[in-house]
Amino acid sequence: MSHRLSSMLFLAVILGVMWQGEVRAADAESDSSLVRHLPGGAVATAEISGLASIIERIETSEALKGYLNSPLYQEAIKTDPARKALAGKAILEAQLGMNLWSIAKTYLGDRLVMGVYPPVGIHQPDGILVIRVKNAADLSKLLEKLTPLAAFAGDAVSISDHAGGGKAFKSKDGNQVVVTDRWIVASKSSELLSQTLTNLTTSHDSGLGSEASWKLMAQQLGTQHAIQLCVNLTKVSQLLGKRVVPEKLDNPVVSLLYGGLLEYAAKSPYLGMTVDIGESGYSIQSAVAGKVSDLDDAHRALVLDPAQPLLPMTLDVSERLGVFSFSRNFLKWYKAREQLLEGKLLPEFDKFETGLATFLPGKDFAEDVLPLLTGRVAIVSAPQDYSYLDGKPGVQLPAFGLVIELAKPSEGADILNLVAQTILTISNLEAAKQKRQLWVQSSESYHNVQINFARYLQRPKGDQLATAYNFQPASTLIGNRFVLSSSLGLCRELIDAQQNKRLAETATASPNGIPNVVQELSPVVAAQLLEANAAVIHAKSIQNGKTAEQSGRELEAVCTLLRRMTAIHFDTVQYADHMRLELSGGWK
Amino acid sequence: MPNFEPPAGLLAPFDFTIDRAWTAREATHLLGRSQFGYTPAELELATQRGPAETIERLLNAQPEPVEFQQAELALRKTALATGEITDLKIWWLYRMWASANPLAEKMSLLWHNHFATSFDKVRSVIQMLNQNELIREHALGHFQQLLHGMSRDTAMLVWLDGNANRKRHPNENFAREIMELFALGVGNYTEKDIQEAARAFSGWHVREGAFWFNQSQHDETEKTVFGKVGNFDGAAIVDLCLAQPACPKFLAMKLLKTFVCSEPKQELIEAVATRIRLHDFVMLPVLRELFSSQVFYDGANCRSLIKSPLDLVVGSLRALAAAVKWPSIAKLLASLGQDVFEPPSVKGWEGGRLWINSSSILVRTNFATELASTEQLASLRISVTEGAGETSDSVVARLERLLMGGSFEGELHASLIALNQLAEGNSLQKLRATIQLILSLPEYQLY
Repeated sequence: MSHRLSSMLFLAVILGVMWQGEVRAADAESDSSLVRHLPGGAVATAEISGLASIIERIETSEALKGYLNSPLYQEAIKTDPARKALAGKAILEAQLGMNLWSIAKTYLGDRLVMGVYPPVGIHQPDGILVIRVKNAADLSKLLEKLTPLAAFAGDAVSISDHAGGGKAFKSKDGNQVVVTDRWIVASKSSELLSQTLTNLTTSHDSGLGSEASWKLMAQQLGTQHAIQLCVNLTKVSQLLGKRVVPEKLDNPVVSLLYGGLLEYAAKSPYLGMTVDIGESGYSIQSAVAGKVSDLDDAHRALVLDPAQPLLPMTLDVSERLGVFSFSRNFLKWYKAREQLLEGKLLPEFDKFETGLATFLPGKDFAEDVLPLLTGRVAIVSAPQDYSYLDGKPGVQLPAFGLVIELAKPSEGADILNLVAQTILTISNLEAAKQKRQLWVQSSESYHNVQINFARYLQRPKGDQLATAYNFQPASTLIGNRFVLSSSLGLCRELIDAQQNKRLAETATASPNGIPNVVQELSPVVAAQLLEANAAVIHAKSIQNGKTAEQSGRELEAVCTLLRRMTAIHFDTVQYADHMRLELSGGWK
Repeated sequence: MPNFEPPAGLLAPFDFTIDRAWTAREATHLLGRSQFGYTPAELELATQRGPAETIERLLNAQPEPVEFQQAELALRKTALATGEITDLKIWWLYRMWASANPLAEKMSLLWHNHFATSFDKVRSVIQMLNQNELIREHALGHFQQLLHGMSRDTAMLVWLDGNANRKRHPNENFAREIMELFALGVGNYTEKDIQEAARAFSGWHVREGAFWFNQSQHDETEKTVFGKVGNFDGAAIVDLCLAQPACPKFLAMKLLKTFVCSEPKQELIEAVATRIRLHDFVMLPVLRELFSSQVFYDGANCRSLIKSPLDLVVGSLRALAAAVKWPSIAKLLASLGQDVFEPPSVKGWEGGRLWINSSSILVRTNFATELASTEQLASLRISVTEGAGETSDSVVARLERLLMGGSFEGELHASLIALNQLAEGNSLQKLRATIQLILSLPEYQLY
């Protein structure tokens, strides 16, 4: 665990340093993607550019120095794999006469691209790697070092002069590397190698660059990114002999939240992904092509109508841990469930409807309940305030608030209040069995809004109260929005947010984009929660053989990392001709 | 402290200058019986210091190291916080493994089994914890105080339906168990005694998680118990039980079966009972005499008891393991039939030969394999593995001393050396194979 944590922290240091740097200034030459040099027919490509400046930042960062001096790193380098890696590093540095950082900057710092090609007949899938080095002189030096080394390998590696200049190395098992001018090209396939070397000498888009899927991805996501991946979904589908995403999903929640995106993917010619790094933040975007009009009627329940989008709510609550917000045509999705979901799930819906009849006798869920909702739903999470306790629970959970927008507020609120009251009654029966304090229903007027909430018969006392004492259910109707919260404090905050117009529709997130699912997570608040639960986390570590000291060190490291991060956003956004998953965040 | 005449006869002190020398084997016997196994350091210390000093170390409270205090507190808080009984089990298992006062833990287990109370019915971690701490507080002390405490313990009252004991409808559960299982044993009371005693305990209830004397439900009328007449309450019944001649004999039987032999003779029971009465039911001096006695070190009683799952598992971990994965250990102990805080019935674990059956022997063997060969349960101590590169003779001798207190006799010792030589893999793997074999041996199942 500590080794995994150590690796995680190392990655975090690298990312942190990357985020602290300047946005890469691309020169004219590095602007052009190397994908155009690859032969056509690839299933997937990955391109990385501008690594040199990132490596430089990592090498000189204080964060890395801090990590290298940390007890976690000192512990990690005592492991066998780490010792072997350090020995390998020493040999490489001695042979090339420069340190690992310089080696990486010199030979990987400009641009590199990899392509994966489908199996042909009995042959395994092939791949090709193309590396462009900034200075031809550096490659000449590398050749000088490598050629005598290869000679030591005897007949395991053969060296020959390459027709286009430079040297060709071929290993006994068929791997070939050609080093020429500014290029290193490697592949096991002679054909791919030869085509690529030919393409390098031409200036036009000779192969992959002219293929429709890559061109569409380049048009929709652009090509100026630190990392860019492209998967040709049409080819993958052909290879699999079926859709890349099943027609019916086996998880209702996934269907409801991401069914639209997945249906886009099933029809999209490509799946693209980009990574961009800015001065104080990063953005990872994944995209599939398609239009709402391409979807069948059932799947349109899972996307927003571009003409009249019902945008998800924002929940601007101070000190929030996270927000999850979306809007859907629930009635349409529910009625189309036989088309959208696997048959094995359908009996569960029948059971659900039968069970619901106990709470809502004489009502039909689809006909009488779902039409009461507009389709906007949001969940917000924030630290619980515990003002209702004389003490705190031993395990501190965050509070949650569910906000449901109602088309018929009065009727809808009655039904939802009935559900809330029933839950309270069932909870009281369970509490009695567990010998916990019972709830009684109470109410208050907060800024002229009536809140119904549960109050403990007697205020629970103690600093290690049971986990159930994290909850003080409360509900209210704010305008046409019904709030069901696990915390009276959070319920009040949501009323404040509504009255101060902070509980509003989401503004369009990006040009021409319509947010489909909006998610946000605050690492700083997550760190506070971890620290509040430090005793339990330590105990769980001790239960698994660690000392209290080790556990404390690890928790501190994780919390330090989280405190340095700004809010993480993870949204699904609809564009006119494609849909994206957008992950972004930053570093303080 | 009163100065009593030392015991004579079977309980007369064993003389290590005449009868037999004090060696690692004798130290192993004392530590194995009075603790859950022993650490390599404890074995070396006991061997060097001799019986008298070792027994005093066992009996007198030792300061707990800071690391233990930190870990123990975190585990206890977490058990209360989560309300999960598994977390409380792990807290106690950790105490058994790491406490500097292992005899207190061993005696706590004895009383936990004596006053067997299960979370399965109590459903409250804090009540189970409170009962355990009450037991630990009096584990080596006055049995009277423990019995009085138990009669008012909330977990016990829930377990034996105290709140159902009302003056018009007396519930006999606690009255029956105090006579049958806690103080006297079958044959030393009548049904009438139970019925009358039940009335004395009426109104002893739990309210808001604490003991509550519900006067309105207490039967204030006259009762006749053990031929004595009076308006007895629960405390008086406890005192009447303690005054019965059967009580010290009942306790003597428990102590002897736990520490000395599986079937103690009447003469020995009487001797120990006399000492219990003499020491006014204080366990510490009784144990001092028992651990120093001739009967304790009698060859017939050495390696004559079957290790309970806790003795086997925690004992092996104390000898061999550094970092223990407690959730896995708790599950293992449940599958071996000794799930602390969840004894099978009000009678607790019967133990003895019943610890071994066709199913449990397989689980015991699997435990040996998993502990010796994998990291699923724990990591081996560096002090155990660092000598792996020595010769087979010395590796086997070292392991025999650590796990058995000395070499096996006859062919077994030679077979272990041969196995170490023939085992596949490097020297560490050979060492692990040897540990696995020793832990699987029938001889290792005894102590």
